[in-house]
Amino acid sequence: MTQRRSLNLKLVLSVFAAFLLSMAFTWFLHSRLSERDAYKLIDRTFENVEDEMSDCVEERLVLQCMAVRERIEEDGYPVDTASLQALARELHVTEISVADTNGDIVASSVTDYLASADRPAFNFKTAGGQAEDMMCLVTGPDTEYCQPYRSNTANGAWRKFIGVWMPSTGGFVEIGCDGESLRGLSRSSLMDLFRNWRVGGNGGIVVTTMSGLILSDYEEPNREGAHWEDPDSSFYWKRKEIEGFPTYIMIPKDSAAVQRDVLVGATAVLNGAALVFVALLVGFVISSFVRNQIKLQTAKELKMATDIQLAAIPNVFPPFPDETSFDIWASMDTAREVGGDFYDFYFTGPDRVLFLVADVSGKGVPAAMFMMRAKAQIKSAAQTGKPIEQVIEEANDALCEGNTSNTFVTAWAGELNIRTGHVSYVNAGHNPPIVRLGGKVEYLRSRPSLVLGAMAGVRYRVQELQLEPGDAIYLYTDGIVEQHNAAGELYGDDQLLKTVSGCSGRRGELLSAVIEDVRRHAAGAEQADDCTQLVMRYRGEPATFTGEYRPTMEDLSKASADLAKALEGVPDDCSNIMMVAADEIFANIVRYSGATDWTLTVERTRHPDGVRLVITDNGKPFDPLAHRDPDTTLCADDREVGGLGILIVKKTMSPVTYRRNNDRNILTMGKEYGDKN
Amino acid sequence: MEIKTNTEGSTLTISVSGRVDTVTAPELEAGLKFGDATKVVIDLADVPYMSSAGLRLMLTAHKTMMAKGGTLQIAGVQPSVKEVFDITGFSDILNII
Repeated sequence: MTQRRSLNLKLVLSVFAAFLLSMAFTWFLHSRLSERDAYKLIDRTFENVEDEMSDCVEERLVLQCMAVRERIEEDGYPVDTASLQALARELHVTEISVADTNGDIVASSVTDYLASADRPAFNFKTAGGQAEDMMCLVTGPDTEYCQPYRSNTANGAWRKFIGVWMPSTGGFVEIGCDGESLRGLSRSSLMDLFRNWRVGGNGGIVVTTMSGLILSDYEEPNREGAHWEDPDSSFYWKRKEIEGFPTYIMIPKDSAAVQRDVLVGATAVLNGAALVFVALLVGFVISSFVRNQIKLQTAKELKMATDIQLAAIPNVFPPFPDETSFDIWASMDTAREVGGDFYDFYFTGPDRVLFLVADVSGKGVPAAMFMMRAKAQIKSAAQTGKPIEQVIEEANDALCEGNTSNTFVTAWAGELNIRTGHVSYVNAGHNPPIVRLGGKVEYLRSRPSLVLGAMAGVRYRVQELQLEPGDAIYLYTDGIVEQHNAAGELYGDDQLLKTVSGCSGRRGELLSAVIEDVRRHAAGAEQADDCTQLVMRYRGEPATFTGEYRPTMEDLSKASADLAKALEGVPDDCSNIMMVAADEIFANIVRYSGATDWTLTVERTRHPDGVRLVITDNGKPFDPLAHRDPDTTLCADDREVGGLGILIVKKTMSPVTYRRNNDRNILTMGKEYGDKN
Repeated sequence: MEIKTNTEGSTLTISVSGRVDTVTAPELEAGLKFGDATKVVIDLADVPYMSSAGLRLMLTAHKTMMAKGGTLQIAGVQPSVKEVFDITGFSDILNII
């Protein structure tokens, strides 16, 4: 348990660490991403801002150029240099020139452009470069043309030239502006140009003059003219000079980070949920694995307990194959892996057999442990050879010792004298057995004594019963009569009596018949309790003949005669085939075994009537049952006679058993006839 | 064991009386002489049972008669003898009437 808790803690801690790590990584990644995105946005915005500012400035300059043209035409054409210089000063432009359709400058505020004695006038067409571009204006009407701010073709000075078509001559008027003139003219048109622009949520654009005065600001619209300072580190920002105006685009870092925060937050929630789910899943998988292991281990141990318990009670039938005076059969079907029922039987003297069925209160492992104890106590008391009531009393006293759980055992124990058929029995609180006496089947009801294990020092009443050959006692536990069906109806005493009456009980068929009938009654309902039963059938003392022989044909002949005599009264079909089988075994011993002596025992049994032969020899080990049967389908020419004798024995006798004991081969073979009851 | 023979034309009838087992088989073997007979009938009506020692004689007799182109019939088979013949597959080989 402690192990599991610390496992869970470790699991939770490692999952939490993984969560923090993944969140830190997400945060870092998205910070980098949002910075990159902010600068990307700034660069893209600059393109728009540049276009917008150029348009704005050029629009202003074109207007100025038109104003110049108007004044020239008003004042009358042609004009002299001095008037143009005055006009230029008045209208804040650096220079003014007028060209004819050929591109020759016919008037200018700059005397160098005009024709003089030693050189012709400046010609746009032939000058090439920036100047030649202006020639587009003569294609008129109403053309206008702006050039970028750059060094001019004429003398390399930095100028921005703007020209408009002149309707009166078909030529054009050109004004040129240096930086200062440009700024002066454009300044007013740039005022508040970007006031309403927003970049990346809360960011914006600021345009200033070269001297650092604000022209357009997005934050505080009335700050024009105030002095500008570079943004601090709480912004992503860039500066660019456009048309001579330092322009800033800036995005507050916290605004850019909003998206990151939302993303990281959402990821945290989703990751958290996923990790919790995974942690729960892993925890569940591990704990169910552990539970399964425990279950498997328990099942394995219970299986071993079952095996130990079943090995503790006799389970080979018939248990005494050489014993012809009684049959005993028993079975135990436990409701769980281990049960609290048991049966037992053993010889307590040369001609006394104790047999019992018992039921420990409770079920499962505790009952099974008490059962093993009870079984051992009764057996150890019985081995002293004392009368049965004393055996039970001793066992009871032993079971009461230290029985703090107040577990008790009901038992029916009987002791059969196999010579006389007399049974002494003690009933310690157990169900009454069913007896078959002289063909009549009934319950053997008697006042029961106290259960075992309840109180030390109790006297147990011994009772008597006389069995005749063919009589039987059937013992069972209450699991049989108390098995219920789905409707809750018990199997019951009456039904049990009926089933037992209808069955001969030979060879233990009775036991399987009862179990089948109980199952039929239960009709699928769960087996509620252990079902244990035992049948003891008294057959009586057999008539017996025993002879000893040497391995000669004379003695073989004598043995055949002895057997024929011993079989008197047995129906011919049985005795004849028995003679054949015996002859086969005798011949094998005399001819092949190398035995120096051999014996024949003939036992006549009643209820059922039958004959059993026990043939022993001290020859070399030979198990006829292990022999392969000869092929009985060959044609006459291929047939051999060898092996046929043993085949005849195996096919006609039942049961046939072989064992090797004290350097002797011991072969038994039996046959029943007549009344099967 | 008693063995009686009776010849009618080319048919030799051998009547056996008594059990046939390891002890009596040599006696029967000595009595199974067929001479020139082309048809032999072995009458087992008074044989209560026969062990594999007897089966060997029946098989030998059958092979002998087959070899000289004659026939062998087994008659009067009792239930215990029949059972042994059946178990050992001799019922399929011997000509039992």
